[in-house]
Amino acid sequence: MHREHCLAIVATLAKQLPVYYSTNPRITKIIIMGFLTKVAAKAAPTTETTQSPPAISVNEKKEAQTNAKEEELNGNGPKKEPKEWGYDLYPERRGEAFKPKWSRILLGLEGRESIDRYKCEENVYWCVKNGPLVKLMMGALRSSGCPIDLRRHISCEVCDPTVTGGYDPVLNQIVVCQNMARNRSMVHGVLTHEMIHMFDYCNNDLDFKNVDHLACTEIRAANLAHCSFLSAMFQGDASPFNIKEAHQNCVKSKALASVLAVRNVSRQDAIDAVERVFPKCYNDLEPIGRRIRRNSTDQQKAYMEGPMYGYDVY
Amino acid sequence: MGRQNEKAETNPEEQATALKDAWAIRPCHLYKDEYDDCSSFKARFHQYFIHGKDSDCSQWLTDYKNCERFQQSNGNDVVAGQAIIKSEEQRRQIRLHAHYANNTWEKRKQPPEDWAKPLPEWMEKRNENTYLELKQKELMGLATPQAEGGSFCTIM
Repeated sequence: MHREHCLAIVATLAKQLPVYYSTNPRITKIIIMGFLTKVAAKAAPTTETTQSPPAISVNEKKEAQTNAKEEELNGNGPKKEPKEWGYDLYPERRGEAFKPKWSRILLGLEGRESIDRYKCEENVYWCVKNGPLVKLMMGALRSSGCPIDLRRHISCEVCDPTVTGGYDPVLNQIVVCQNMARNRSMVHGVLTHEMIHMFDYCNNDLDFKNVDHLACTEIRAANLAHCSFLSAMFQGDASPFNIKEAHQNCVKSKALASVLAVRNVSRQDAIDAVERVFPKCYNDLEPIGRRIRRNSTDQQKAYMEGPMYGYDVY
Repeated sequence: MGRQNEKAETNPEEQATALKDAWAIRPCHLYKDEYDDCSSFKARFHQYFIHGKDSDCSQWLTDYKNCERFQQSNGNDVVAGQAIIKSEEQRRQIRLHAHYANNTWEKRKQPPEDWAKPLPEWMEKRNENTYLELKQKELMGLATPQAEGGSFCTIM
């Protein structure tokens, strides 16, 4: 009786949902499931217990989620993914093979995953052989005692269209999105950015569950590998009338976006973390040593300078 | 940035062991390139974009002049050589100071133990016979390097 009553309410609710929600089955399902949970919670008899379950602190909760993640990666455990690590953006990280949709195959948008992967891996290898910043980063990692094994530390995968790459701290692996980073320059940018995270993890006791640590490594990556004047302009942090020190705003907003993309924290907490560590992390330019200017010889110069700072020539 | 005078003074004791860090002296044209690049319009724009003011490029020019003197004297002008080495040392100190001043995290004593821990089995299986695996084997000398850029066309 109670269940029928619930379903009747849900049916009424579904009719009243806006067009967008009704055309998006995933969102409709979430709304209805959420509604059912609330109804069930209201209907459930309230039993007064003398002992309330122990509250999980934020850190413990994250620890539990990390353990669940590791269990699942090893083949055990649930298939649920914590938002904490941003695994929802990298579906192949969950061990699921990417299944293209027929409609998108007919449109030519999907169905060439193995070719895309081969091309992506070709681009990765080209960058390793010819990209000055990638070569510098690989030399710096090797001299720090963390050599890169191409098959172990770099993986080309199909990702969510909102990202071009990522760093998986659980497996210590760079993910290059084969469906988004389709040319050498994009792959070079992704590899440089993610290798800065790798360098930080290799040289420092970096805890990705600590928002300050995450903010710092994102600031460094944005500072060294991104935020030329053009990209700052496209991002809205600079304009022909707003040039002075606009680079810092670009780095802050890029780091903020990265922190929010992979961590389940409020915007204000992320802003606070970025502001807290910004002065120290913005000035730390290792192992590149300079903020690269677009269309200049800065990349080559940085690579040539590497041995003077104890980095291997790769 | 004008840290080092063109004619740096050194006493005889210093001169004896003056150029023990001669590896730090770059080819002279690099100092000139750095100065030209630093003082170009594009670089000035970049400096304003980052720092809000022009950077001092004079040290690159000073180093270039000292380098020229050092080269033309066939390495006998120890004073000029010493000046470049000191300048390079200061350049390194400034850069590394910012790195070590970043105390957001603790520095590691040794590399992480799990740096190359084995991947999950399903991932290892997925990575078998990939292009990157082949290239890694080539880099390690476990496979013979293959020529790149071969055509896939065949005449039937």
